[in-house]
Amino acid sequence: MTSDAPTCYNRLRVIRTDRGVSRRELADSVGVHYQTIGYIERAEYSPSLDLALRIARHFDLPVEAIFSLHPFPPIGTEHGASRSA
Amino acid sequence: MLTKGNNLLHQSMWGLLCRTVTRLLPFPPPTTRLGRRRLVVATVVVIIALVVLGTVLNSFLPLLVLAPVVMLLVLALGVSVDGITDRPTSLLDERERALRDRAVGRPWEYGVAVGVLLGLLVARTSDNGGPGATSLLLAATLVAFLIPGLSIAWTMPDAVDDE
Repeated sequence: MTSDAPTCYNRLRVIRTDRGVSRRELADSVGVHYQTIGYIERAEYSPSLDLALRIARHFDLPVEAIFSLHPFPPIGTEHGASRSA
Repeated sequence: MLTKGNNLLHQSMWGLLCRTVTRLLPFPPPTTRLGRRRLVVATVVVIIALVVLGTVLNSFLPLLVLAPVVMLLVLALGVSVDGITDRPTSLLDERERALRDRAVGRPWEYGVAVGVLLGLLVARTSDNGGPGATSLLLAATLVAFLIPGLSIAWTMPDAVDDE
C-alpha cells in the first residue's frame, strides 16, 4: 500500500498545523499510531473510510474538505478565484 | 479485560526491550528506509556467513561467535519496524495490520514450508548433526521466521516526527 501511487489526496498537514494539533494528539484522538498520520500526510498511505471519517470528525469538517480524489488547488488559488468571480 | 492486561504487559515489555536493544547496539535502531535496508542486508550477510563458515571450517566456533550478532540484529530489526511483527493485533492500527498481513501472507507460508523442508533435507544428507548441518538448519529457521520482519523493514517508508 505504501509503494502504490497515491489515489487519495489530502490537506491534513495544513489543517492540522493550522489548528495547532500535533501528530501524536491527532493519532491518540483517532486511535492510530502517529506514524500513520505522518504517512497519510505524505500520501504514502491512503486511510480507510472509517479512519478518514474519524479524522474529519476530529476537525469538525466534512471529509471532502480534507480528502479528495483530485489534487487540491494551491493555497490562495481558491480565494483568488472566488474574489475574481 | 484480559486483552487490556495483555496489551499493557506487552507495551511495558516492549518498552524495556527497546531501551535494552538501544543500549546494546553500537548504533541506534534505524528509522529511515535506507537505514532499515542496510540492517536487512547486514542480517542476511551474517546469516549467510553463519552457514558458509560453519560448513567450510567444519566447526561450531562461527556459530557461537555469530549467533549473538544475529540475535542483536534481529532485535534491532524488530525495534526499527516498531515491533509490527510481534505486537498483538489489538495493538496495531489499520496501516500496521495491513503491512503485517501483506508480509505474513501465503507466499511466506509456502516459503517457510519449502525452506524448512529443504533445510532438513540438506542437513540430513550432509554431515548429519555436525557444524555445517546445524548452521544450515539454524539459518533456514532464522530466515523462515525473519521473512515478515525483513520484508516490512525493506518496504517501510522513512519515519516521521511526532511533532
